[in-house]
Amino acid sequence: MMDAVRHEWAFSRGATLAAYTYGLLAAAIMGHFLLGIPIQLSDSFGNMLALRASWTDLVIGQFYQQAYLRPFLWAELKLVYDLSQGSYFEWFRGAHVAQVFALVLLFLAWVRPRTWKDAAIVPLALAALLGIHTFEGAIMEAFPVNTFLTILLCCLAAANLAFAAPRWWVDVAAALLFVVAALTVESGLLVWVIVVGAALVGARGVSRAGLGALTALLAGYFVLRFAVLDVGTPDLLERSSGFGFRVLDTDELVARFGGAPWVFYAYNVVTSFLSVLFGEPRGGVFRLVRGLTTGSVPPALVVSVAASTLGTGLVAAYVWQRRAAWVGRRFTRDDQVVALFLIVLAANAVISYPYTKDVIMSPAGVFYAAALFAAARGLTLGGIGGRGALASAMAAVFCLGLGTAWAVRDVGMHLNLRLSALRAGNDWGYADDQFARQGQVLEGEAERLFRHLQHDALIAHPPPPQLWLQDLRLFDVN
Amino acid sequence: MRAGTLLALAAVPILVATVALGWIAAGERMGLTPFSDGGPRNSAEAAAMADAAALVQLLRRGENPLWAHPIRPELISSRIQRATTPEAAVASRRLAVVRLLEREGVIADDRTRRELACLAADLDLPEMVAHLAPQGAACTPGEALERVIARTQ
Repeated sequence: MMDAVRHEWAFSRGATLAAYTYGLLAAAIMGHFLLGIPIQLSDSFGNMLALRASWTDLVIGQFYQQAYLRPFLWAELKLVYDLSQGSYFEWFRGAHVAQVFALVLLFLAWVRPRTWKDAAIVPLALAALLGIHTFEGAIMEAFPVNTFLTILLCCLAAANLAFAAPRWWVDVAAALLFVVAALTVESGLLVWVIVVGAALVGARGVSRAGLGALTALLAGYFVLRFAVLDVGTPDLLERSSGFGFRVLDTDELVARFGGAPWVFYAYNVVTSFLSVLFGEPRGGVFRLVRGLTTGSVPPALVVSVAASTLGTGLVAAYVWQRRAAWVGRRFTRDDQVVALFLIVLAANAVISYPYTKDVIMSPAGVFYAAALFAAARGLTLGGIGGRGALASAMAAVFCLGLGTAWAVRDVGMHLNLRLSALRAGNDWGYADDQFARQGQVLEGEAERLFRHLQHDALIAHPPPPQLWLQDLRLFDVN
Repeated sequence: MRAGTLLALAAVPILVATVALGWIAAGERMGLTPFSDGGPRNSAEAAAMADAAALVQLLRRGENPLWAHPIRPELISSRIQRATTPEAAVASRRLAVVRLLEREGVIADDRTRRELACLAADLDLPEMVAHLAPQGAACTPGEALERVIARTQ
């Protein structure tokens, strides 16, 4: 018996190799589904037209926008656009696939699967990483590079740096990472939260001097944004947002919250927080509760909420089991991962205050998957159900349910990618008609780019056939 | 039961899902269509499904859109299982599909437009009738639809 237990916990190169092999397989499968999607008309064509501008005009111009400060977002798009030399599909879709591989590898490098027990948990963690609803916006769309996914890479890179052995170059890398992330999308500010949060729970890859430099850069960001450039922040009129049981448009938001926007902002923070933990609400809308009140609850929604809630239950059980050590600030590496998830979740929810959108919470979603891994690795049997035959049986049912729910969500994400391919193809097929009805006329270089991308979408890289699995109500395909 | 065994239980359904997704990906890379009916089998089916990418691709490969193609009963109705691509486009009830065929040069002459307008009238699609025959089409009610249905029987 003791031998068996020792075997389960023993470090093994084979286990690490198996975990990484599985991770690469999962990334390759998702990559295949991604390559089925043509470059999207709605999200990408307008941006690609803008990318014809010079580097100076494009990037410098971003410092003088209202509400958003995202020069590196455009720099990233411009870089891939220039490198592509007209092979747009190959480069932009290739970049998206490369990002998925990088995400999985950075995730595994951070959570460090070392034993066969770890390797057994990796499928669950990766299903949560790639199947959670907050990841949908990072994979389903591209502009034509998905910069939300870039932020996820920055966040995981920051976590790896924070948990690394202290070196001078770790400080430099952390500072560079922060600058790139913060000037790509606002949620990139979470890089600071991750590094400082990790230090608070004892992960000291970045030195005190490095933390000081990062904090100075954070202060510099706010000075630049608000005092120097006067970029400001999005206001209530910026976009529609979920509230209660439906999405309110900007006029409704102003009518309802114009006098007290803080109520709306507080709602956004709380619902964003809950969304990661319980899979509900989504984008600020309580879909399951609405379904219960109307007597029509889609099975996919129940599965989605069950997966998140069971996973949260596992993390909560771990925290409860480790409470004495946490109070005494005796953190193991798994404790640090779980604690950092809680810190990132809170900070990410606060950043989401202007409007709720699942993808804004995608960094917290990634850290949720890591926390799930760490909790599953660190939890003892007593934490899941106690000892005895009945407790073991209940724990077995719990684990099977948890795995099944996440498997369904993971498959659902892939099926959504396939549906997205059909929609992207149809958008290009009907684009001429749509432009004609809107009175839009494309000329010169704009028309050449349009025809090139349309040919890519309809002839060179047409969407693959739809799958009959998409018709099953078990999967959240929409 | 040990914790490792319990966690392996959680991995089982996920591994099954990964195998299924891997099967789809590998099959498609080899030119097969696992877990799929293979998509539209001809341009009439593509029109019936409003699948623009497949429709354009099949037409540009040289498929004859004016031939009466077989159509699976679940796509339009069990009564219409053979139709030309423009007829299937009308039966899809989506004007955008008809417009796509116009741009591809499939619906070119006035006679075809009138016949399709009559089919649209039989299917109670006034917007499509107005588009295809703005001056009006002299139709005998039911005749165009019966002609299409007759091909199935």
